Amino acid sequence: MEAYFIYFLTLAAIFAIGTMAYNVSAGYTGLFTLAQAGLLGVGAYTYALLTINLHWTFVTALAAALVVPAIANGILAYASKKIRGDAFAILTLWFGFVVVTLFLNWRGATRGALGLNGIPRPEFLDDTFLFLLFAVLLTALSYIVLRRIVSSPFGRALGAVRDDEVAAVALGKDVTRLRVTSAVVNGVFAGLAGALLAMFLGYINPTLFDITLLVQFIGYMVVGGLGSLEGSILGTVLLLAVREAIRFVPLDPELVGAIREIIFASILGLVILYRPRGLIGKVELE
Amino acid sequence: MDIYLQIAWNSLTIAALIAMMAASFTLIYSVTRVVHVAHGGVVLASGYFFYFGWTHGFGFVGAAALAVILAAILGVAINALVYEPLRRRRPLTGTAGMLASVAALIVIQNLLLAVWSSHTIVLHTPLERVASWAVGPLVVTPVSVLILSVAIPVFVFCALLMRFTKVGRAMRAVSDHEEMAEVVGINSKRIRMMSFAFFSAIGGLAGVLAALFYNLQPPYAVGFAVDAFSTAIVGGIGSLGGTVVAAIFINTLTNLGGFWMTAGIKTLFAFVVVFLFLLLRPQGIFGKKRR
Repeated sequence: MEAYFIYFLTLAAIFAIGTMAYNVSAGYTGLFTLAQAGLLGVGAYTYALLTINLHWTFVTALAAALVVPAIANGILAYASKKIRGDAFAILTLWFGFVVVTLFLNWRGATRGALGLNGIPRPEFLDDTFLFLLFAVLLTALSYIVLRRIVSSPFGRALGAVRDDEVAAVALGKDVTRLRVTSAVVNGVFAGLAGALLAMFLGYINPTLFDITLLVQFIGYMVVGGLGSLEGSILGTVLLLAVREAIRFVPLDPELVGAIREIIFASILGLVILYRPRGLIGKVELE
Repeated sequence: MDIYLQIAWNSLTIAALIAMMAASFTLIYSVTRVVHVAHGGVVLASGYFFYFGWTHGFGFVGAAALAVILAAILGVAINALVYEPLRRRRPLTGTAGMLASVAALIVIQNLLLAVWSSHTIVLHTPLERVASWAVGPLVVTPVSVLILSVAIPVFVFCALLMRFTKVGRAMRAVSDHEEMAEVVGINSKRIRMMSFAFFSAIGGLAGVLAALFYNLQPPYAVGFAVDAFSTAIVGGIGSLGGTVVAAIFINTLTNLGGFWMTAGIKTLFAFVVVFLFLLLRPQGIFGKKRR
């Protein structure tokens, strides 16, 4: 039971980083992308491929796992300059899908649907309790860094982009640059979460990062509340607890999995309908 | 050279299939302004309904009819249960509708998983027993002929429906200006419901053909959704002709990518080309500049 509790908390800490990162671009900046699961996937696979296939060290592979999704997300966000609104969101959903398809089909490096196992990590992380401490420490650090970013004048400019783009432009703000920067911040921390996930599980496969994970992040963020980092942590812990609790229903595992996703998606739907601010959000979902 | 002819034919077949999904999606979008991600789920569910009908003695046409009717009902149900309640609270132009739709997609996908399990279902129909034809250097399968002979009349039907019928004109009116349409006596809520019914049926027809062309697996729902949307945005949202051209464009690219490079990279290749294309022409091939 204790081992399970440690597992749950570690997973919650890792996902909380991904949710906070998502909130910076979607909640604080109003740049709604549907690529969060794909970004974590890019981070996780970057770390895993570099350590397994090219024998990079922990630090360099981790650094690459932060940079690659950041660049990818920055490029995606740049497209928001030309491609607006719904079409942009669809494009990012497509990106997430392409990422998963690429991992599935690039068998030479990723072993396709079989996934990658034996993902290396520093020795001290083999102890589950130390891994939990490490993950919580990184979550706290991420929170502090992101808090500083969103509270800075730069963060307020992001809010202006979200609330009134025309006014932000009129005040001389380079809206595209602000969007790209917030997307890069999101990418860095999503990559961190992805790499941590790969280290923690020791095994990854492409379907881990499909739309089910995307909906998890949307759920954690929206239920916690847009524009609130604390909300993202709260939403992640609460909803992950709900997901994990359903796991113990004594039925056929496949059926339980399906029921779990249906319940989760229904909770998300109800929150969107009746409480667009989430639990402690600062901004309403429009 | 023959191989390129074959690639062109295969691309055309897949393009026809995806254009049906994309056309139904884009018309729903242009009338209701909902990014109906769950449409991918409706399309896939229709394939499963067809499988159910076929294995329960409805016959080929009967099972297809059953699937199309159930798909229409499913589309109308999603509209009534998800989008209309949201619409009563605020205008459905933001992300809320899209996120609710993603949630609806997950619900449908997992309902299919719960009922039919995650096993791949391969449909065994009389079409299997018809041998492929050799037309010059081309190998033509019966399923691809069926797809094209259904898809082309469907596009003509959609174009005529939108242009010449009273319902089609009402749909375009709601699409252009909902309040103005209401002022001239159009019941926009009813028009939205009819759009969901009509175009979910067309999506359902595509779902039946897709089930025959590929097979059935719950995760396909997302693939269909992504194919439909990417095609719709490249074609220019709301443009039927653009959707057809875009479907041919994207699928030819994907297949060429698979032929020139390895199969693994083909979706990435198509994505990158489309991404660059959209940066140059964000409104799509035939799309109007947004006001």
